[in-house]
Amino acid sequence: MRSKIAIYIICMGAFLLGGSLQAQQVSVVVTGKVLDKYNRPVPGVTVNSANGRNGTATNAAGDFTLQVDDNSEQLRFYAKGYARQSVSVAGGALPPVILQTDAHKQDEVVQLGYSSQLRREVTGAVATVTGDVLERSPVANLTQTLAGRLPGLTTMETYSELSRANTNLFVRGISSARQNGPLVIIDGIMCAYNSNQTLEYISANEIESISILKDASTQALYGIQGANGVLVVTTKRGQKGDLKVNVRMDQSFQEVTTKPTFYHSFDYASMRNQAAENDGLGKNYLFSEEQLKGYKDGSNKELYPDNNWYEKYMNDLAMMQRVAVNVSAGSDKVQFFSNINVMHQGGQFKTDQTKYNPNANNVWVNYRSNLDMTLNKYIKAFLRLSGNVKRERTPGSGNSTIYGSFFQMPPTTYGPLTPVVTDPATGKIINPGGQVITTKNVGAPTYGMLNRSGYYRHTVTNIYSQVGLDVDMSFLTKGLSLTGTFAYQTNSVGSLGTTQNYERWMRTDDPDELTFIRKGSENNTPLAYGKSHSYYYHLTYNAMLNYQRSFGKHSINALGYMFFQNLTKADVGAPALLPYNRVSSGAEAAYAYDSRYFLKLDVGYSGSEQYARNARYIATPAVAVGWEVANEHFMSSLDWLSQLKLRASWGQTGNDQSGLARFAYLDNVSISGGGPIGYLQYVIKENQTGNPNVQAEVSTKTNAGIDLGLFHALTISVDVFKEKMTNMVVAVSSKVPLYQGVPLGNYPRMNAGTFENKGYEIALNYTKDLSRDLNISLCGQFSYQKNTIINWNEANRTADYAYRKREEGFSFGQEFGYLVDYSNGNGFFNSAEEITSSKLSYSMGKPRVGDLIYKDLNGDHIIDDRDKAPIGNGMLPRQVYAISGGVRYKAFDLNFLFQGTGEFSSIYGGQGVYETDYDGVFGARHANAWTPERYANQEPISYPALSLKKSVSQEANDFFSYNRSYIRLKNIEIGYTLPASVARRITAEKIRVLLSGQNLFTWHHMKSDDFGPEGGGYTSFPVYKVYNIGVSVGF
Amino acid sequence: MKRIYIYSLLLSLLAMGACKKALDMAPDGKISINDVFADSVKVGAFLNTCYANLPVKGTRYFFWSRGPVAWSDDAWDTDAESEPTLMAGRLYNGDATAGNHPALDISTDAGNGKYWERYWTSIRNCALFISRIDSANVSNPTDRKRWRAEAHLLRAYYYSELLKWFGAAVPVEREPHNFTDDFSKLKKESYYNVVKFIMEDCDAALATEELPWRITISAESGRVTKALAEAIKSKMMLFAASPLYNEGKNYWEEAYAVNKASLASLRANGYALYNKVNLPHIYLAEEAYLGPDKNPYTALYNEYFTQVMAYADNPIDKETIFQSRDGQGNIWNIDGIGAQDGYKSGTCPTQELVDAYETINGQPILNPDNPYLDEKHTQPNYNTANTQYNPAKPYENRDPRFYASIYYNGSKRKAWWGFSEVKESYENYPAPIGNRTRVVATYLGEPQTGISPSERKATRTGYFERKFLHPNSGNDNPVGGANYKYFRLGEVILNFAEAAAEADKLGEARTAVNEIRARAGMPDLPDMPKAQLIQRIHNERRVELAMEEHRYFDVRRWTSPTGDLSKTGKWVTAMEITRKPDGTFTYKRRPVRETERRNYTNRFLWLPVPLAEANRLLSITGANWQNTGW
Repeated sequence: MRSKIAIYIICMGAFLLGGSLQAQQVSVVVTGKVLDKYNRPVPGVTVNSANGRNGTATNAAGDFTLQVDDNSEQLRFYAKGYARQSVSVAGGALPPVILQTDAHKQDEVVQLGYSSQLRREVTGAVATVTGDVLERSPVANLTQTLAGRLPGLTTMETYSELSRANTNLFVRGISSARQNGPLVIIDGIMCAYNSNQTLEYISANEIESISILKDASTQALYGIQGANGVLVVTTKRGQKGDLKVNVRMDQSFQEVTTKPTFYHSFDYASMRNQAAENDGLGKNYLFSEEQLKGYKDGSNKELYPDNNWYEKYMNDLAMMQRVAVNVSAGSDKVQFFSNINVMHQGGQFKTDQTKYNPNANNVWVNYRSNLDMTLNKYIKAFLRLSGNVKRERTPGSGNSTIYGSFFQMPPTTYGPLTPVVTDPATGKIINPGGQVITTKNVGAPTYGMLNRSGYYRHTVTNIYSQVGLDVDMSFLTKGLSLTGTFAYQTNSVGSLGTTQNYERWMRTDDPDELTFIRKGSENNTPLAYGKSHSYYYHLTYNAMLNYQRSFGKHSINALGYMFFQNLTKADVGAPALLPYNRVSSGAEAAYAYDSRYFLKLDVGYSGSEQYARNARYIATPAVAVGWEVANEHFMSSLDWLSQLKLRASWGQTGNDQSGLARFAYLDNVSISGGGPIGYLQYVIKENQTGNPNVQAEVSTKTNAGIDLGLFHALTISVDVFKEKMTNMVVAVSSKVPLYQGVPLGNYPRMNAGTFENKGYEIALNYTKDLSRDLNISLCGQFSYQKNTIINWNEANRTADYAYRKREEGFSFGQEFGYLVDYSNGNGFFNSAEEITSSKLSYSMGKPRVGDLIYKDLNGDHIIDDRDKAPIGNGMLPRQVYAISGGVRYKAFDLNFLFQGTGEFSSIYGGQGVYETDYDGVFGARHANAWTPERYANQEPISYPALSLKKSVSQEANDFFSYNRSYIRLKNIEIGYTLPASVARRITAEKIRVLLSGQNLFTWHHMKSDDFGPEGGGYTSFPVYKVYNIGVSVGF
Repeated sequence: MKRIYIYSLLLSLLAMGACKKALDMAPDGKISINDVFADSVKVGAFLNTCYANLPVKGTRYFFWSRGPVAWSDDAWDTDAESEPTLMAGRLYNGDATAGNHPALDISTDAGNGKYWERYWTSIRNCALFISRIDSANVSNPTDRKRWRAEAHLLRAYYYSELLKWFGAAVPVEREPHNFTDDFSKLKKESYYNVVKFIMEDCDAALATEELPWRITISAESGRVTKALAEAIKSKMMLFAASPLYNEGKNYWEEAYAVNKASLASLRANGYALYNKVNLPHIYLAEEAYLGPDKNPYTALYNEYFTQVMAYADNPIDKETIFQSRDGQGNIWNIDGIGAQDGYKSGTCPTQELVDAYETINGQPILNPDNPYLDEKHTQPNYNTANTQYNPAKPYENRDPRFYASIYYNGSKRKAWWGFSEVKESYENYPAPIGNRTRVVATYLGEPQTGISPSERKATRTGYFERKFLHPNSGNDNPVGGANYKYFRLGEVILNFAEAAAEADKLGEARTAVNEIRARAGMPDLPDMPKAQLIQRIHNERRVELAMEEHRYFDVRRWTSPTGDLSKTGKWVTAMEITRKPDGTFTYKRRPVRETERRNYTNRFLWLPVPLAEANRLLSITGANWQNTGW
């Protein structure tokens, strides 16, 4: 509190002083032109006076006019992709300024969250991408644009429902044995809650850049929130110069990348019969020969339907339209950037409800206004406002439930509605029909969920804003400034639910008649209305002291900050409803000598209410050094070597998201009425036992890197890293026996685990102007990370286990299952003799002929839990890579991105992978299931003998482990910029039309094409591919 | 220099914001253990917590089953076929592992299941209570002492249950642990030493004047008494001396002494056998059909098990030492004759149990040395000395307790029958739905109560359980099952009889067992050699304590640690009765099902220590704590 008052007083003082210190200025007007090496004008170059008060930007012709009144002796020129340049100020027209290309991006500003550095000064491990690159992806959610753009970032699109698509992000994998994503910092403010959702509220076209901070020297400053990596989002700022308006319109067509197999009635019925026969129920157990014939010849679709439910309910394409308008301008006093973005996503379902529209439909509007003001000589103010309104309509059962239900009803089901029954003699309607048909095993059929369950309308409003003052304190000492920022986010979701229920009917067992009986007691009800609401807010206060100065060859950049967070989550139950508070502080000092030697020191000191006072705060120090060898005099003769920088860092960074219950340091004892002995009236319930010593996890990270620049065209960066956490919060599952009496779920967790994460990243970038009209670029990036749980208190299993440990020594999320024994050629029991002679007994049931043979790893002839072996590599891909490139030829441009993962697999199960759910759901692999005939004829066999109920083959095993490696044409964009003469006709400066696509082709090793390597499996919305046509107009 | 001052000033201003309290949590209604022991009401509440894991036995094993009764050779559970993936079904198939044992892991309903976790939790609660009670804020000294005694006694009870289920796989834990404790030094105690510890706790309770011998007001129902302490001592010392647990040592003398003392002090403090029919209008009425001839011994035995002990100074029921807080539910619905109007039959007594009832002249039916000639128990080895038993009329002239405990072919029941009779039910046709007397016919083909391999409301064995079933209860007369009797004087007398016989005090042993027989209307056992007397005492236990969860533990403790239960538990039989057109019956013994019960092997002598716990203990102490075979 006291510090706030102090800041206030300083600010007030600065205001008062500001007036009196206004000194007499000399004013000169400078004009000039900025050209590239081909003498083409460069538009949009920022031109600033060295003292920073005056600035402008070049226009389309590369011309600028600037009034310099701050006594600056130099003008500075910078445009993205070019080297910075300084020119002495002289009144009147300057000679043309020629910008040189900056192939290694050494002059690019790299955002580090609270601070920034030129890339040439960077000592840590940071990857960046600019907003215009992300804009190439025609997708709804920002997180979907990041794949393949940032070396060291693993992206996994786990959920693809349109408008709710969720991509999990991991910076260098994970730093502890849990699925923690990075901290998101937006414009210098940490957004620790729902960060994935927070990113959803920002569109690519309002983004200047995104950086990921990968090593301790860049994360340490953020203390207990830094260890999982940091994703720094910087939005666009207004530039000094003329008003610029940019309008972009897109029309996109979205199509699923995979469609599960859907069988015809005859195939389905045959496979069900085959399954029954395998189970020993005899031939034609479920469908008679006559029925099979009926399904096969297909002449009577009434009695023998053949319904493809997927086609009945799912459109091929879903539409998306987007319009974005960016407006930006600035004078020396005020600069602003404003943006509005409107998006509409249509639904993908075929519906036929006429009274209301249940189909998915989403409208998003988001806007942003970033305003920077210079109030007087000492004080600048800024205001960043952004908001998001999302109106989302879904069918009453939700989009994803409906998608998953397509596969439940067999194709042999008549439907979706009961037929009208008329009297054949009189033609009078006996029964109007129109009731929803289901089967014995399907509780809620798709038709009913889609058309007779009402709809939901969710309205999300999210406001995020920052306001702050920046006080120049050079009256104390030159280079000192103080910034105070207050930021808040409020998010509310109001949901209007209109729900209804409907009767279910079932066809009778008689195959020769089309008659229906009612199932259950469900009723046709009118729409009922309901409303619900959730809300959260997030307040942050940040104060920062900056010091920046150069003395000859020395330059220093330092800061100290303090941050207080008060977050109230959407939860309404105690203790989650109590605010989440954090205090972080830290200091950073970067020193550079002669652009050759670099040193950066960081320390974070931070704590949260999660810990007891004595264990609340942790300090996280870090140090980084860099040496630009290419700038040494002895290297100056090597002209081909344009960069050779060695980097190394060591440090610590923390994590307070350790899976602990809230206030883990406190006992949670409660008293309530009742209990076994009435006489005693009350009973005590002991819940969590507190561990007063539990504290934030600390990860120690080492990074070594080299940046090599060759021929001013090729950049090669290699980073090697190792992270180790020795105080990981773990349960006591092996250290503490139950006989001590506290249930282990309540037992204190301890900082006793050890976790390691190692890997490397390689990034290559080649860019070259081959001629005035032709520019090419090619990038490649590869990252590898492997984590290992060294210790997490896992108890040894008994000696008869093939693997006595299942976590320690393995990567987090290691899967275990049976290994199929292929020694007989195909891995199946091909005859009853094979079962007998194997001498194996299966603990989960009796194997049938055609079931999988499992390896008896412990040799006890019993297949059970003891025989399970590790399968796969854990929950994250170990390899992530991308190849991207572009060509610009005259007015045409082409950019592409291939992106992929490797060393990743998962065991799948459930509906469609197994054949037994509901009335039998068959996927692609089931078509060639084991049968004696197929075996005898040596035909390919892709699946164990089908079954009507869970068979011994349906276990976690390597037969169901799918290799999820893939490479995908993630993005491609072809643009054509119309001639300027055409643009001018509509008073525009630039018109560009473009075609783009996302996820167009995928190459993978999955065992079937029913579902893709990314995404949530058989019953989840698959990843979408997007075809897009767009136009962008600049004024 | 000046600059440095300014920087440090500004930085310290920033840092001061991090004042300590900023991150202290807001109060949210939590209390600490210290708060608990600072307030008399909360101290009492914590004692209440110590009671929390007392299991409700009887029918309350998942799912309304009698658990160990049906897992022993006393009975077959109809749910084994109806719910084969649950308790009895899995056990009969031997489908149990340390990681997933039906008796441990199916359900924690009513305090059953998860014994290892729950009893240790309660033992720790008791230990914590004992360690804090002396310095706790308790409003009066009587409460302090009585509560302390209760905690000791509850701990003894939980320990006794752990021993019964898991055998000697447990350590002795006197003090509550701190979470920073090192557990590596711990070791399993011998069975005998744990029993000593249990008796120590019981003695602490017995030495407390403030702990009563009997609960006399119903408001205090469920609280433990000195009588319970004596009963636990009696039982656990008997167990410690038994072959499975005695580690080759002879503790019978001690078992005899402990039992003698316990029995004497129980008697001295008002405990006595239930010895007369108190509700003759019910139990001796014609419509009770207790005993072929309104037998008062049959009536009193049935009355005892179907009535609740009242909490009073001088209750009618002076035999019950400790009963459960809750009743056993509607027995006719879940544990009697399912066909009546119920959900299932549940417990079906086996032919082996039926064979154990002597004839009224005191002669065993089968040869006690070798009751069956074949492994599957289908060929009875009749006792040649018994002249009263007629295999063609097997249910005549039997121990009065037989008629109080079992519905057999030809027995009668007046109650609500929820169906009208069809003509295949020859004895009962015609009759409408309603309250009426029905012949409980169990023969093959009887449409309602006939033997069936799979029907949940029928019988698997040819018999239905009646011991806990009120004679006339049904949907129109919903008399719930009486509270389950954990301990009763009858058991203590039989404990004493067995210990005395084993300790060569044959005369005292015979006197004790004859007291039980006399109450049942059975003649005294004559003088006989020790081995023979022990056999007869074992059989008396089986009959007197039938379906009271004793048999499961008795057959185990009578076995050697390397033995198994193949003689008793592997094959259990049904009486398949065929009705001839003339109304007479033929009787055929057959296994209840064609495959053996697989829960007879050596490892089933104990429950496994839960897998994760055994793994932990191995990791921590380096020793294998797992029971043999698991």
